Amino acid sequence: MKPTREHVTWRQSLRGYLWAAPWFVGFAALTVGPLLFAAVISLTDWNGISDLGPLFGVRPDGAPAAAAEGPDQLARWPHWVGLANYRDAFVPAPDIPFSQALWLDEFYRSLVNTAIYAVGSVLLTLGAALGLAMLLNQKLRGISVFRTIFFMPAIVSGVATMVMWRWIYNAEFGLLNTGLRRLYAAWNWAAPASWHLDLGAVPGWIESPHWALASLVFMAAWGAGSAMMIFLAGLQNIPEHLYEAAAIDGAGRWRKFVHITLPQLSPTIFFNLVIGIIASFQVFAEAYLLPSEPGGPANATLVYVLYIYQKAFHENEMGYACALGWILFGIILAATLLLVGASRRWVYYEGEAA
Amino acid sequence: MKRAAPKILIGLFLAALAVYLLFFFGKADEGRLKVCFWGAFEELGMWQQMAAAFERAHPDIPVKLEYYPGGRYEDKVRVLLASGKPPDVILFQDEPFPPFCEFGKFEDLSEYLKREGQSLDLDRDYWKTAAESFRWRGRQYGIPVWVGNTLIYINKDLFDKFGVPYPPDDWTVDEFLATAKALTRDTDGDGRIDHYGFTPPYWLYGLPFLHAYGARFLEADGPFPIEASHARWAFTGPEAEATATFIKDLVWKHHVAPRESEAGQMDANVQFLTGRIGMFTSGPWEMPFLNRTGLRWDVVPMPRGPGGRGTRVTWDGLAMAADSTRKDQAWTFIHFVAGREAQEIIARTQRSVPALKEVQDLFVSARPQRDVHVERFIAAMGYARLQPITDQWEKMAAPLSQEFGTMLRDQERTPDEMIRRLAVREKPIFGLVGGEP
Repeated sequence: MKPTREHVTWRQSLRGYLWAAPWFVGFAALTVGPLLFAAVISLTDWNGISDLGPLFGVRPDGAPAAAAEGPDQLARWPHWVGLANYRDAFVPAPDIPFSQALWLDEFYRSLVNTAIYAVGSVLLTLGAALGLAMLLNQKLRGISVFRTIFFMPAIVSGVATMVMWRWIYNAEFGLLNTGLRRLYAAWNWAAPASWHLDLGAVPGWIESPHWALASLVFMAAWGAGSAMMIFLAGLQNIPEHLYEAAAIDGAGRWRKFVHITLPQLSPTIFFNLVIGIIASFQVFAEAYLLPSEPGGPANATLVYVLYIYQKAFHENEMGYACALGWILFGIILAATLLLVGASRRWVYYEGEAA
Repeated sequence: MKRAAPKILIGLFLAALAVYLLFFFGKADEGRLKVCFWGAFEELGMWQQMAAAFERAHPDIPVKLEYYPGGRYEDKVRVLLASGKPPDVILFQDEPFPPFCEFGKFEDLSEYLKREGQSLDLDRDYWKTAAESFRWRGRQYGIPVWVGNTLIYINKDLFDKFGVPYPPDDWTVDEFLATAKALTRDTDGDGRIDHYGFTPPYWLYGLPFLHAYGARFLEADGPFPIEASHARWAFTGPEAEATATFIKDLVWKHHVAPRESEAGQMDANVQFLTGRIGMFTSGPWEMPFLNRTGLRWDVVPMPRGPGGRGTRVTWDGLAMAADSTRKDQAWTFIHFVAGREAQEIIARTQRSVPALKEVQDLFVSARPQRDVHVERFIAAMGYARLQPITDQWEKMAAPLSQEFGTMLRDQERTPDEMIRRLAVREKPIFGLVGGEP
């Protein structure tokens, strides 16, 4: 018999809620609380340093004596500014021509950078993860060793990984460019003089405004391990009899992949896609740590969360930064809803009417 | 048997909760004076020595040192202050200092200076620019601890290898450029430069060159540090052009300094240590590190230009958190660090020029390398100038860092264009000198 509502006693419910309580408490205190606080702050011009008392008509007692005198001093305490922070985000600075706003205005530039990073890194990561998962979904001796090896980068601390990548990408001494220069030199040795390559013309990777964002995207594939594990689980859930039936019908490897593996895996792909998009919109550490200057060179890696961080903690615009945070929340929510809406067309859940 | 598992889990959960609460409400740190600072590895030892000396003199005040190495120290302090339970004593730089005074996060120390038996005469006993750096609206919010002025470090091994004479005590920007050219070499003949004369300075370290060409970032009609409303953006005109052109040409015209992709993401001191560059500008805080290496090095004064000679002076000082619950003990500690015993420890570490003038001789004589002209840091106090510090420092710095960086990175970006773009971006903060350009 199917369990119905009457069969759950109040004791059972209470136990359920009690077990979930630590999560609820943490969620309320550490997520909902700051979220609401940020919403309030986003309506002010708070700089992140001063007391918040003046917002609610309380004069702070730690104030310097001079602060009580004159409108110039009073202007330095936080005020309610309504939705001005949200307007300031979307309206480019007056000296920037409208046609170049996407490129020059830091808000739009950070959005564009983040969007490029999100699309590039998610496609690359999902592709790499699916490919690896297919390779590792074989009944071979010692396959678990390979699975461990490929999963390893996903659990190694992000900062340690980034230090390694800094050295791979280093334009002067890095692994990548040292290899490229060897290749160029080998080519020059073999090719006629008019086809010679310039040994100095290797990409600057993370130090070049043209390559920096692409470098971050390539690096994202390094973290494909966790998506790979989920794909692997998804692959092992595909019933063997479907493949056997297809084989009897004369299907080859490619047809099996397109008509059985992909449709059966679609919920897994969807899950990885949503998680990947959300995570890549929140990318921060890579852009903060990899370039010589966070977000550099020339704002090439200025991603959205880094922009928020700089406004909040370096330029003393906490109110504006909080508004930016809520705008990001709106963007991620919209992107997720869009993906969920579109998923009805291509994601197949077992047990659903086809 | 089946019922046992949840009980074990509940037990584990309760035990974990108890441990957590124990730490959460634990009073392990109560009763200790908290002092926070940043710095290189060598400086941790210096602070430990000072804290030990303090505890010998004041056994009733145990000290807890909180060491935050590396970058973004100000971010950390900001969060600690916002938490309402900040460290009692905070080491802070002069550049980002004013907003913390303006918004009442640092205690006004003006009255503490006159305390019976714990007084300090900042104007008489300390370097002239020291006390000024931590004033705001006429009140004293920080006590200077040590000073850094930027000079030029030279790698003597590299100078000797290429037969380049060491720079004299008084030299010009033209002689500086000639020296940089003489140090720039492609030693293995592969068409790529292996040794450069210099490294393009980060904008802040380029301030001495502004002085050499008579340029400045801000014009002010009020006391230092400047309230932003009393400052106007002044990096325009032929002096600004000459400065920017000089710095740009080091990289693109003369190529005596590495371009960004050639620097290999190494910090200037690492490029210096490895012999990649022969000279760089920095302050005395490089010395504890360089003294631990086998390198032969020296410091030479800033070169003189058409605008004269100048260098930047940057002070670090101790502030007291306005929310501190042990202000008397905090002042006792600050007073101790400003005093002779602690200042001698700073002098022996060679961290920087101590703020207390009377230990300057010890600072010079304590140098581990006999032929290093440490006294040039003292001499530089004579021509060092205060930085354009306002309560809008971070806002001013962001465009400067970006625009200087782009000019150095992008061959097409002219000095004129950089100056124009800077003016556009700094104008909303300060207004422009002389109104519209």
